[in-house]
Amino acid sequence: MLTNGNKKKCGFEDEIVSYLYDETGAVGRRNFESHLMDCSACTDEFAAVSNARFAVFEWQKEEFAQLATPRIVIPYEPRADLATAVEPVGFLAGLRGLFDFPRLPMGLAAAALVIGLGIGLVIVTTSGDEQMASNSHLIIPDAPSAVSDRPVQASVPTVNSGDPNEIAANPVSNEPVNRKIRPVKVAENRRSNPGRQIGAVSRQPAIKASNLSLNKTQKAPVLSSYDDSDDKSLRLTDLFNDGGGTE
Amino acid sequence: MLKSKTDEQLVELAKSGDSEAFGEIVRRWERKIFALSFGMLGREDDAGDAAQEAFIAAYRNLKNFRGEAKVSSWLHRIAVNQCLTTKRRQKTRAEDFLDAEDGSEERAFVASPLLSPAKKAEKAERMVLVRQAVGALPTDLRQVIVMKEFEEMTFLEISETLELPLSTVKSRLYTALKQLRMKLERTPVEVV
Repeated sequence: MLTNGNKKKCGFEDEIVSYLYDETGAVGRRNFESHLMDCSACTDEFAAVSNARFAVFEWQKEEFAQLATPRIVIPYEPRADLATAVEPVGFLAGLRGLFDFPRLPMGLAAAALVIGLGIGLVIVTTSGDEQMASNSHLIIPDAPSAVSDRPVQASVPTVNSGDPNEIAANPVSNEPVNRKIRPVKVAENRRSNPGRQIGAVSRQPAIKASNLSLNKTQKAPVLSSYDDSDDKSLRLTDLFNDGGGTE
Repeated sequence: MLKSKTDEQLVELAKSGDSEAFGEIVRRWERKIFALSFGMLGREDDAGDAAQEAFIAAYRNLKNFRGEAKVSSWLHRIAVNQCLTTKRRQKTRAEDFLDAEDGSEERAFVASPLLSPAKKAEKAERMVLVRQAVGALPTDLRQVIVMKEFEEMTFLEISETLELPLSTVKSRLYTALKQLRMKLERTPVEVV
């Protein structure tokens, strides 16, 4: 039982405020209401506390409830301490920072510049090599099966008839005509080993079918049965002989 | 997307520099912190300034929030400290609740137009008395009654925010109401 001097308490103090703010369960509410019917002190105490609570409630309702919430403005300044605490320091961190979202355009621009320089370097290099290749007019075949192993003496005219006088009267092209010509597989070599031919100094003359002055009626000699006496070509030794001709 | 995050998640985002996350925290708690400030200080302009300063202080001290307490507890602690600082500042300028007796300070009280002038005056006087009586309570008792009446929090929410047992919260509220009753009964309202 709650006395005026509060020397003897009912033990319902906590229940008073819970009942006052309607935060007690149904069972607790029934128990407290039944206690109030038997305890006048608790009833008086409950009434007094209710009046005090109502005064505060009225103050809140009359002076605060209609007030608008003031606009809160936060100065969101960049904080160096937070920034240093979060972001690591270093070249990689800086590189990574270039590609952070706010600075992504800068990172992309830098990447585009590097790529453009690389492409430009490749183009300059390839165009220089192509210029060198076009100037030489010769292509080195890298495969053994490419062309004939026999060196071609393009500067020495060869005439099947053999008479030096005929040579003078009938100058032939510098292209050798009296030998078996194996077609040069230039295109295949280029496809298979393009790098091989770039910048290479070719040693084999580019033989074109149009340059060939083959006499189709002439039959190519068979090398196995070739005799020196059949050789009508002009030799260096012949030039030093008085009578010329063959030995 | 920020609305679905908890207060603690928002604080972690704000610590990494996300100002929108802290803005969401402000939006969630600005009314309650303003209500707490008003109940603690009794004046609208003081309450607005205190709430603003409390959120700025919270933003500047984000790095000190370690997540050991709830964000609501942390904000309430900052707000109450800010209110106490404001009140100390007011005392040094000889401004406190007692100045409200002359009714010269700005007041948001608007009496009902249906009341007679006498009743309006009586009500205005009572508001002053209540404001003074609440202002005179000890800080721990005042905070509980303000959180209950102005922030409209449950006993459980107050218990979690103040990190106190439920029985302690109820006991403090009961003690605060008893002291208020004694102050209001001692100062009768004179009807002009």
